[in-house]
Amino acid sequence: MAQQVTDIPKEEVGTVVQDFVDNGADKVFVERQADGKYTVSIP
Amino acid sequence: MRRTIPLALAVLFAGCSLFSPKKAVTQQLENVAKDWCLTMRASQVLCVYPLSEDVQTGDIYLVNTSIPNQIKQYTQNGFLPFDMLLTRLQPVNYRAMYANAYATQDQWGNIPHQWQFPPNATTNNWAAAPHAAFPSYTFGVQQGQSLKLAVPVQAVPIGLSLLNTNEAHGAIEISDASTYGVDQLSLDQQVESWAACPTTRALLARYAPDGPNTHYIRVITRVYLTGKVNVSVTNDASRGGGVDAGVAQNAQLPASATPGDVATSYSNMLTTLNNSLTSSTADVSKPGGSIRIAAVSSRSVSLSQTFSRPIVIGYIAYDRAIGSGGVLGQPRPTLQQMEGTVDPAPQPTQSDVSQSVKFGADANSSIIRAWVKDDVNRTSLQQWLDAQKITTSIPLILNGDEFASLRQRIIDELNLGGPCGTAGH
Repeated sequence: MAQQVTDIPKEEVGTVVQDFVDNGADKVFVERQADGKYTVSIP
Repeated sequence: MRRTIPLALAVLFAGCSLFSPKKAVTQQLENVAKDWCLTMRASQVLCVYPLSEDVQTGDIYLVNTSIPNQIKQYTQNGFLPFDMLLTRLQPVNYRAMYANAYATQDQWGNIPHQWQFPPNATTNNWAAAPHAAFPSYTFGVQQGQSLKLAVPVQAVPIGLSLLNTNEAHGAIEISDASTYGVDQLSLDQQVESWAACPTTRALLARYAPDGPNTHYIRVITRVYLTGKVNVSVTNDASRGGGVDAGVAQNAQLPASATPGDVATSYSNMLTTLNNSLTSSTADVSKPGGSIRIAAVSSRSVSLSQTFSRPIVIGYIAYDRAIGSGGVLGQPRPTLQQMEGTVDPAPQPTQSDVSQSVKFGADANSSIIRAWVKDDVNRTSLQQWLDAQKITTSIPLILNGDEFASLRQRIIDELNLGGPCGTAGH
């Protein structure tokens, strides 16, 4: 099941990406939202 | 003339149908059930009807009726029938709810059975459970109408029999009430885990939307019980008459007190009445409890019905719509849906299919994140999550706004300390 975290402030994006990597994710996607915040997801 | 006769017959037939005794009795039965349930509704609780001991927190029922039709049913009858029990989950968060109080220590997987069937005891221990209180319920009985099935407690028809009347009014006081429940957050995580199992998903998929028909699951989060009901009945009839109510009883009021001391005579009369209801003891053992006459006069009688074990009279629940493939939508509280204060439980959206959380990390996120940098600790956390049947991944738990309570549980139960930890406080 796909997982994603939305509405991430810019300064927190790296930490969230690292959380997914530390948990064994092979691919992590980062997308900029229209409101300037970010979504981090894994397929 | 040819057109007038069929019309007259039709009117006559319709009139007979509307005012038939059977219809009047049915209406009376429905009204009494509704009045009883209105007492529950006034206390912001959904009514269980008929009363049952076998309804528990964590029960998940299948609801086959659409929310609009349920609202109609609820408005007309005052209660919602239970359709089909899908499963009974044992909530895991009782420890956080009760913190060893109410005789729950080391009983987390056994609640409520440690109150129902305490080990090495001959009686139940519901007195130790959290207490609750309800307003009294008033009722009236009109001549020619029966209460045989509609009254949830048997003391009422017995009181009517003793007064030998079918015109009466009275009150029911719900006594010895208790309650227990669990938070929706933790219970819904268990529901998610249960729903994600392949066998469950296959079962739920059978109830995916079929045209306009939507099915729901109803999850019980709290129940209310009573161990004793006090009933007082006052005769409104100018003269007595036959009554068709409840279990037939032979008891009759003595015509007058015996001469001598008034208190002794009254006590003797009560004993006589109680003995007339049973051959050997002062309590009446009937299905559903024992009945004892507390006070009596020529026009009124007060009885108390004690249940051998408390029975559930009301509950709090929430609903989730079953979507395509058996995926569940977002939860909505059942009572608020029935009262029309929230919209019906929605169908699952794309975000329900793929797990999506809004960012909301806090101080506990930093503590847990630092702790799981060590792979041994990460494994320990994953094992703890598995034991709690929580399927959400660690990254989502660390960063999701909706998992703040779960992070606090992790901090507390794994003794991670930090500024928000409660261990040792």
